[in-house]
Amino acid sequence: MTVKILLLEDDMQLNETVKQFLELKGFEVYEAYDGLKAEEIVYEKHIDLMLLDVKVPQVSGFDFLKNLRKDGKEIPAIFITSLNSVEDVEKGFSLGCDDYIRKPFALKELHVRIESLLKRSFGTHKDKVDLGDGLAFDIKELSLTKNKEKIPLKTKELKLLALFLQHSNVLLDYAKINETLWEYDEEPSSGSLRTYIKRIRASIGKEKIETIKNVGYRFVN
Amino acid sequence: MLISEKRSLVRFLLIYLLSTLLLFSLASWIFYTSSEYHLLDSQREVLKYEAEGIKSKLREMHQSNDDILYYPNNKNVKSAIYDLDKKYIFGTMKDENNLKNRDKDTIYFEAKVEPYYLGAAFLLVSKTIDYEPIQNLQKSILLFMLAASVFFSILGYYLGRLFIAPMRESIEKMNHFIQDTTHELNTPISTILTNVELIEAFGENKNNMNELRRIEIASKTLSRIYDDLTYLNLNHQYHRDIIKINMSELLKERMTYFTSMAETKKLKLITNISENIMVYIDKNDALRLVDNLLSNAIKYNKYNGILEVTLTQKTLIVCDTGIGIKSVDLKQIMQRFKRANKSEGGFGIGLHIVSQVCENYKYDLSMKSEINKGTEVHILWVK
Repeated sequence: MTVKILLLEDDMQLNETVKQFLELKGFEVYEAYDGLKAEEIVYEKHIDLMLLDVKVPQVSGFDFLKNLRKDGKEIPAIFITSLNSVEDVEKGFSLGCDDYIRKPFALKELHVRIESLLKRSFGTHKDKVDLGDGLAFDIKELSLTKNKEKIPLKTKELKLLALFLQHSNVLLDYAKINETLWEYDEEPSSGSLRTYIKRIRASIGKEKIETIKNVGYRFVN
Repeated sequence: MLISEKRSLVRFLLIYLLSTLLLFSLASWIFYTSSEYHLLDSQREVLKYEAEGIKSKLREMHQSNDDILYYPNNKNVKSAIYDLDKKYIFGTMKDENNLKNRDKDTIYFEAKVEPYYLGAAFLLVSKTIDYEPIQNLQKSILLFMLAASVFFSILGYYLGRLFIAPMRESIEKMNHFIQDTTHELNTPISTILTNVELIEAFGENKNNMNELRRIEIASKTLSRIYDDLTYLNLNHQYHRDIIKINMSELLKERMTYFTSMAETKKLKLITNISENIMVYIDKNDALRLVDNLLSNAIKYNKYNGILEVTLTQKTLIVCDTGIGIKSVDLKQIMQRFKRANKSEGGFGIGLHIVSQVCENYKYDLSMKSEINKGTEVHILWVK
């Protein structure tokens, strides 16, 4: 499974360039040239990180993020901006962006910032989240390894595991889990969810995921 | 309000108020002197009238056959009679010399007494000047001047704002234009730079590296010029966020940024950067300061020259082996758009920005330069 990035940038040339670069770096990139398209993508796909330009048609980057945060979506966001004043940066942060990068930027810098933000969302500074017993979760590839050997897990299971890792020791209710787990055209199934949990428990240890009856699950680390 | 705007408004107000006040003072003075004259004149009329009264009383006395003569007593005025030789005979005015030596705060009226009743030839009547109406006049004039100056200050202020408004509007328009342009330009520059980076990192054809490097340098220069322009443009309304900045790190990072530029001139870099020098400065100000010093030192350097950068606890010294600046020009060079050598590109606003940052933070900026040997710029932030 790969990290999915939403790229909101109205300049076609720059959009293509950044997309090409990020794809070369192994990310899956969904591009949007205006705020409405970005909203569409963010509700249809399970985006892991967003790169947002501020001045884009239809819905500005600021408004887009504001609406998203109001909806309770916590997807990490980086603003790509050429606005000059400090006030704009302040506004961006107050709306809930996690980082910003000024135009013109070096792709290398963008890459570093994306990776560090991804790591931060898993609460670590390393490329992998250590789960003990030789188990590790690769943030970049979104895969589970034991002693550097990949444990085969389905995409949905990995997605669920990633969600647990991003919210360790926090109770996740069914609503939150379903929102992340199922695509917009899929019907949430509690039976499948139980199967996924069982499979994850089998890989990382039964005690790591607590069942809170009728409410949800909690990942304990 | 812009600084220049404030300055012209203050100047306008000063000239306007001074000239109006001058005019009003003149008018008030003329009015005051004439009013004062009239007030004194009316008091003199009273004296004249009283004098007539005394004269008629004297006549009555002269014609009466009483043994005891009573000198006419008048409550309003003092009076005295003098003989033909101007010698004091009698009167309620006791000072005998009053005919010649007169008191400042008193008005006098001298009348001839004919025929010479009781041997008196002159009658002098005097009265202390009643200053109250004059003081009232002074008060009302002062009040009027005060009211006028308040009124004209307010009027002048609004007039000034009115005159400045179109200028302000065009400045704001230009500010917005530059801001927008910078924004618009940043995106294509980003595209150029990122694509150069893409080719350098992933491209297979390594034959065009020189051409690419030139594109990269040119785009970076373009981007920096616009940074400078925005900086100058926003300088007055820019919100400074003064934080502790690691000057050593910043300087090293910027040196790396300028490396490709320095390499094209085959410059030899000498760096004496002390570690962890902390300076309280706004990040953007620090960037503009360092960027402009470095880019100038590279731009005006000769081929195979030396670029020396020294950072100590107190100073930043950038030394180049370039064309140098004439001592006559050295003074002028701090001014905007002044360029020592017009053959080279760039706006030459670099040093202007350097001097502006130094001025803002009260840093000492000094330059030493020798023609065809080089220039040395010293910035001292701890005194």
